[in-house]
Parts: sequence; structure tokens; C-alpha cells
Amino acid sequence: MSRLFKKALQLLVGEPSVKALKMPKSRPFKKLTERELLQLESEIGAKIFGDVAPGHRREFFCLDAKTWIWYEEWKDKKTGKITSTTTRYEVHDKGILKVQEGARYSFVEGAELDNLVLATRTYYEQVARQVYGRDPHTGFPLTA
Amino acid sequence: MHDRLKFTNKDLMVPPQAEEILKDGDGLDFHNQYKSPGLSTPEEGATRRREADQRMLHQEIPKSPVEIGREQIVLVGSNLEAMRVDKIQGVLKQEEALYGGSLTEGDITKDAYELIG
Repeated sequence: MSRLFKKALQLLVGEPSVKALKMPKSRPFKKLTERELLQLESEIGAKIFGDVAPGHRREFFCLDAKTWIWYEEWKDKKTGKITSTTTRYEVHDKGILKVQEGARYSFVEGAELDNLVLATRTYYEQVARQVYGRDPHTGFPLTA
Repeated sequence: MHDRLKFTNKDLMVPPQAEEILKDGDGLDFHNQYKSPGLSTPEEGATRRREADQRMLHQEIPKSPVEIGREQIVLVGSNLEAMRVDKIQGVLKQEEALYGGSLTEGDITKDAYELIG
């Protein structure tokens, strides 16, 4: 980086920001940003279902407009091995398809569907406010 | 021998008093209520069918819990995706303002970060 550019940048944004902008050259900007956003969202999503038990890790997030992911990971007390389970909820014309390991597919209904809808709404309410700073009902930026 | 089967047209007529009771009592209109559809003219029949079709068209068919749930999940997902795109575009604009010019995602990877990297 030329000294002139570096100095101009320092004058514009200050030294700390220059450090913050030092990203890997191979960084795919959009993908990393999406991933970062998903991680932020998932931190909120994991807490929707209550506290995560010690030794457990939980992720719950909206992957895209028609897919939700629930990931649970824990250490097996007997074997000591890390065990995990991933559940994918896909929006189909007929309803919400629950996809789990071992080719288990079923459409969600009844209390499970009610809980899923409630979870997604709670997720949206909290993520809209805390991650995107927007009113979940109007979509407008929150005023301080 | 056939007395019991003998009757005149007069016997078939509804007595005027009974007709009044049927017409006014409990809001029932005996003649209209039980008028056979077959007795109406073709025009009347066509009008009735059109009206019935209109009623069907405007009648809201109740949605099943699955449909309602699905719609809510799709709405939430679409809103979240829109917020993500907006956020990413907002970051791109900030970086454009920082580096000048019109940057694409590729430009940021290839040029901007190499400049400061």
C-alpha cells in the first residue's frame, strides 16, 4: 500500500479502522458477510428454546426464505464422542417438510408445527431488532 | 266403494286461512320456500346459478392450520432475507464511500483489500 494512500486512509478513518479492514485477500465478501449475519442470527436462535445444557451446542437459524436449520451437538457421556443431529425444515407447497439424518422425512403438523411457527416468529422479532436494527412489524429502522 | 279415493280439485287447494298462516307464520313464505326450481323460467334459473357462483367465488374458504403455518414461516423467511440483502448492500455502500468509485463484490476482494492488505 502506498504511503500516501495509507496516510489518507488514516486521516479519514483513523488507525483502529485500518486494522479492522485488514481482511484475508481471498475473502469472498458477500459470503463471509452472509455467514457472519447467520452466526449472529443463530446466537439469538439458539436461545429461543431455553438455556443450552452444559456441553451442548445449538444452532437455530433461517438459512434462506424457505429453509430453517436446527443443529444440536453434545458429548456422549458413555463414549465421550461428539454426537450431533441436524434437522432441516423445508417449505414445500404441501407444508413444512422435516428432514433428518437417515432419510427421515415427515411433514410437520399439530403441536410441533405450532411450536415451529412460534419459534420462527420469536426469532424474527428478536433478530430484526437486535441484528438489523429494524422494527419487525414495519421493517423501518429503529429510532434510538 | 271408491269413496275414499274420490276427491275434487277443491280438496287439493290450500284453504285461504291456512295459506295465510303458512305465509306469515314464523316468517316462512310457503310458496317461495318450496317452489320447485324446475318451475322457473330458463332466465330465472340462469340468474340463480350466476348468483350462486358469485357467492361461491366471494366465499372465503377457511385455511388449514398447515397452510396458515406455512404462510407465516414463508413471510418471516422472506423478510429476513430482505433484511440480510439490505444489510449487505449497506456495507457495500459504506465501502464504496470509503474507497470511492463503484465497487462490486469482486472488486472488493481483488482490489480494495489488496490495496490495504
